[in-house]
Amino acid sequence: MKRSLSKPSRRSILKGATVLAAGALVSPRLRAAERSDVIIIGGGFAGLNAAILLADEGLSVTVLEANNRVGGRAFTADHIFGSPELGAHQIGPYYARIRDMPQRLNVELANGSNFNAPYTFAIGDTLIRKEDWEGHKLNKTVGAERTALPSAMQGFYVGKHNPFEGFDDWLEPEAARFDIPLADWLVEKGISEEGMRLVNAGLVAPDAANVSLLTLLQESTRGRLMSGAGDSKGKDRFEQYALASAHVVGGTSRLPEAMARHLGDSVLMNKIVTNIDMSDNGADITCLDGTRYQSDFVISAIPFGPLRRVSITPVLEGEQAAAVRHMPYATNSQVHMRLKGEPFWEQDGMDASLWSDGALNIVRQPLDYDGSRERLVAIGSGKKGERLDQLPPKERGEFVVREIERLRPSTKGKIEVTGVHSWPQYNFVSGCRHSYGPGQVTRFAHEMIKPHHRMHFAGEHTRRLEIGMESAMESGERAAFEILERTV
Amino acid sequence: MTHNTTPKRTLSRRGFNAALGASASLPLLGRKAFAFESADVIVVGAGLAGLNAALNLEAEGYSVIVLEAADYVGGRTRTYDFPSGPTNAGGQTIGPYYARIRDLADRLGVPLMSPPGRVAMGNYVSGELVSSADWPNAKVNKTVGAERNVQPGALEFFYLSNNNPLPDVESWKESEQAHLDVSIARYMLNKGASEEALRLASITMNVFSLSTGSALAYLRDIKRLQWGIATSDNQNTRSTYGASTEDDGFEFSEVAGGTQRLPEAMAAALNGDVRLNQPVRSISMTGENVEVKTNDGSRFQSKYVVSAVPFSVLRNIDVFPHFEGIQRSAVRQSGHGNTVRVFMEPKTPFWDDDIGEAGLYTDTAIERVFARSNEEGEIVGIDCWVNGNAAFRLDQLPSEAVGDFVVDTLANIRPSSRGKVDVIKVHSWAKHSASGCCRHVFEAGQVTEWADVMAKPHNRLHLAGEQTRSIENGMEAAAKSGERAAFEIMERIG
Repeated sequence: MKRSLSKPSRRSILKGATVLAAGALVSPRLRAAERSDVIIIGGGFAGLNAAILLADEGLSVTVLEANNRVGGRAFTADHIFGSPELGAHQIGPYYARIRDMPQRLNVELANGSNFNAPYTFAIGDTLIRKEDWEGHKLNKTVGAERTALPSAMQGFYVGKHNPFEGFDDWLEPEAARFDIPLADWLVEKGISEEGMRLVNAGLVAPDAANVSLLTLLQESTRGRLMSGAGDSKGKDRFEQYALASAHVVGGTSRLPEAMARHLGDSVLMNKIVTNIDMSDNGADITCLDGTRYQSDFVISAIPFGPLRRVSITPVLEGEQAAAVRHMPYATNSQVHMRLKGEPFWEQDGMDASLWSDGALNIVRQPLDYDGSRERLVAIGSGKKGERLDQLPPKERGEFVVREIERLRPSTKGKIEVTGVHSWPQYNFVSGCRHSYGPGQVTRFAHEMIKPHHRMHFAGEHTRRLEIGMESAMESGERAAFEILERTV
Repeated sequence: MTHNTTPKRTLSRRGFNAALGASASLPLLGRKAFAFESADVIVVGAGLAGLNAALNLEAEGYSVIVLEAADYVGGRTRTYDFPSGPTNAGGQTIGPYYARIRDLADRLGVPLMSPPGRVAMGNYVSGELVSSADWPNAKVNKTVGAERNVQPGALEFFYLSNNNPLPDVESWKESEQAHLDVSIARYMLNKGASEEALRLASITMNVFSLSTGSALAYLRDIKRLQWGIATSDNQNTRSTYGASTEDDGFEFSEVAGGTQRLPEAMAAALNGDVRLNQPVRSISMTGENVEVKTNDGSRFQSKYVVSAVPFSVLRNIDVFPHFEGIQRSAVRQSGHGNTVRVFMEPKTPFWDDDIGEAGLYTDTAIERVFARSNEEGEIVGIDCWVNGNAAFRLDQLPSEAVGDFVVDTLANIRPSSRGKVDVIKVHSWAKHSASGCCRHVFEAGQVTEWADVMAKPHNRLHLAGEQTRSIENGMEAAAKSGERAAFEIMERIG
């Protein structure tokens, strides 16, 4: 770090264990009245990484987490059979920050991540083996498209025509011409009507008309490198990713938990921020429970969904205000299930996971790290997820079981729901990830991360070069550095 | 009926494909292909808009199937039957000029009644409990000049109804008025509102926040409301809600037994079915046909389709071909308000122990508390009413925690209520309804950008619902929009 500390004496006093000891002596109420150098809103990877970096430099930090747990969208569901990962969990080969942090905090990583059984395709009501797809009569795609599996149709076009080489090409001014609806671009590239239907059926975004091509090109560029790592030749893209990746032993949540433990009692839970009022004297933060916190600087490390519910003065303006107000978030609705009796895939002789063009996107049959295959998870994303979310949780589970049994009779009577989870409905996040609409990268990407008064912005939506969990870490680091520059 | 100028059509023109006709005429496509029903028109959404569209179409001899995602009809007119009596969670007041709603109630034998009188509201501002009488001179009243005599809950009406620049309601879409399509905050500041007035007014308005809501859309709503009010004085004590029940010589009404009785009677009057629990998955329009698929895989075919659901729901339906251009943006991005209502019952008249006013306007997280009275004028309900951004904030609490949070907050600001209220029901329009919102809201700039295209037919899909309204308000706007969509389709069938 290339900065000189202006107040070394104060910082060294506050360093390390001294902070913890001082905190333990006073009541939480008194601590609440204390002023921190920096308040970080949000205890996900972005916020915790920012807090650790700032604390390392001797600044006093308070992390306000709205939920009763840290980790945000990294969430190991220990309350559901098999402890499924509900959010981020796949640690890519080049996730430098995410791989470094466990070493520092004695959290164990292991090779491989996100192994699932291969997919069978449900087109309409017909089950099709992946090897039968190209020549199948229900494959109504045209020309070279026919070779692409329905699940890979978007990748077929985006991968083939991706003009980007560098990770930051998507942020260059000339990239603006790709900030258009994916659908328009696919039509231009000659996609068939059926190809478009299959792209829509698998999207994380609501539909191909409402997602920016540019953001998909960024991911495709980053992904190309990731899947090239390791000894994974001859595997499909998803399997290549899985083999080259790593996972946190015992569940992804163990990493943010260790980060929070490292920060000690500067991390406060159940603090739903309602107001951020900034003046020449500092920032005044009010929570729904009426408590108040003061600081010199604030980092918003929460998604724009919950941030737009916070009253901020002075108000955000221009495209930054529009970004906070309107940034779309992607849907992800999950139903977790346990398998009973004979494996259904042995009974019908088809691959165990399911890709559907119907009410669900995919039904994964995970291969757990201990080799067991006792789980299923159905995922609805995009509009499919929104529609699932309209059902109350119990009915949602019943609906999904009915739908799977209908598509695949060999599962009848063999699945029971163990838990449901919806990222849009889960409080304090609004969706599984940000999802730029057409034109919004150009409008928002540069403006929305500029510091506003005493407030700085972090979170995966402010990413620059990275994707996934690493992008959250990257963003927290950037926000921390911005503040360190100002405190010199 | 209000549309008796429309030429009557003969039955012969559309009798041909009612019921099973269409499926029988199709070639054999396998078992699944048979599993659909058909009608001339499929209506998506059984709120007032959808049901009125269906009734109008049936009156002209067309066959209709109505698909409703929820397990009840009425959409945002929802009535809960509490021990203290039927209570509306949504649409309630029937304005004097609600011609269609009044006509429907009359024809369907749904009795209307005069609304019970509103109970006076006190204030809790900046940490002090202040009666309405004491407000003008209260120390915590930090408003300025003429504002000081206006109750906090009426500041909205004070600034938006006085000297409303719209010459008439219809003019809201005219280009001369585009300069009003700015934020409500900007408009009020231009009118001389103080920062404190802005802060207090933000609590009553059902926009996400004053800095995002469009002044023009709000001025339109108020202009329409002003038609229903004989005199323009006495505005200092009105809010947009209070305004509709003042003794001003016009008849305001409510549905006896709860608003939901009206859509229920409308559904019962239909020949065709209203299918409950049928959220629509896709609307595919090819050639002369529309195929509508619901979540459970059921298929329906028609010639035309009416979407009478809020855009917050329509945007989650796969529509082929896609919406285009700015209509696509409007459907995808239009703003939707939220209201969280927490219905409580008082065990004693605790308000007599402090300022005497049972209702309360507050600048806290629970915003406003209304007292609900029965026909005898006895207060039977204490209802917390939170809207706009504050409602979304409250929605962040686990559902089961919201009631306790409201009761605790009320006890803190009004100690006399401690232990004296029981929560009966918590209702969030965004979180716990198939509507996903309590109403559509234009944000600044969106009237100019979208108002012209929001109701425009897309292929064989016609758009109804309150978000497509032009001059009417509230329930009348919904009924009117259904009628318009029905007429558009009749014109096309010819």
